[in-house]
Amino acid sequence: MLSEAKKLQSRRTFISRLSILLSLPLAQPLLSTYAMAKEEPWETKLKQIMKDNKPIEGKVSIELPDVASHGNLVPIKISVVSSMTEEDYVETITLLSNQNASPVLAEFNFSPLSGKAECSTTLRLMENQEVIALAKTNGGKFYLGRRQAYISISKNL
Amino acid sequence: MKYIPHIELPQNIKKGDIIEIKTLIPHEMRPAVSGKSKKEEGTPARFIEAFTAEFNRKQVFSAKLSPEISANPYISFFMKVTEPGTFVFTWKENNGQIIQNSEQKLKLE
Repeated sequence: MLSEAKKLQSRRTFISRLSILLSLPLAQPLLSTYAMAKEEPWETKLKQIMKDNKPIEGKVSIELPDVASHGNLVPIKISVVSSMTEEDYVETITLLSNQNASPVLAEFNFSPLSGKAECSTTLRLMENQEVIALAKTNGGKFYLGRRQAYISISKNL
Repeated sequence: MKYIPHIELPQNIKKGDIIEIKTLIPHEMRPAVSGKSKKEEGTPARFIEAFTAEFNRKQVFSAKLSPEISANPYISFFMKVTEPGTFVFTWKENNGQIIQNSEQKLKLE
């Protein structure tokens, strides 16, 4: 009786160890493909815009209310530190959201005539989400800014 | 339907100032709504897809919008004043309709 139980246990441990052994090398390529498939639409869009360039953080600031009272009308202000001269100016700011299937909320194009790389608008943000702003200069540099948006009333209209 | 845009320029502008220009256009910015049943057809999206601001025929600012922008889209931006002139603001709906305002003139003190 006892030997039977022992045998059963040893078989179980053997099988469990075998499964661990098998799963380890097999799991890694599977996991990596899973991670690739899990790439969010906004990340794909960022890569599409930036290609192989790396963005610099800290130059773009996004102003949002601490907690927006209603998702239908969320004021937002985006500004980029730039001298805005003919030689060096911010060409485009792309505004993205990490929640939407179509991630681009808006795109703003500036010129040296703008004088200031700053603009504001109002957004529809129906749930808490991260807003990402990617600025591109005429020299091909990229600046990235991100800000979490908090909405107090969501969806119930 | 006729959309009448509102534009606000600051007062007492001098050469070299960087001024903020505020624009607003009444528009529902309707996202696409799918039908409740398979037989029922949904309503297509209708929104302002593009906005441009020109000063003396030079583009100062432009924007591409989506239905994620609130109804009655408000856009504000900046411009460096170098000379007096005329603004042309253009809004374009996704169905191709164009709304244009070229009445705003900039006078220097």
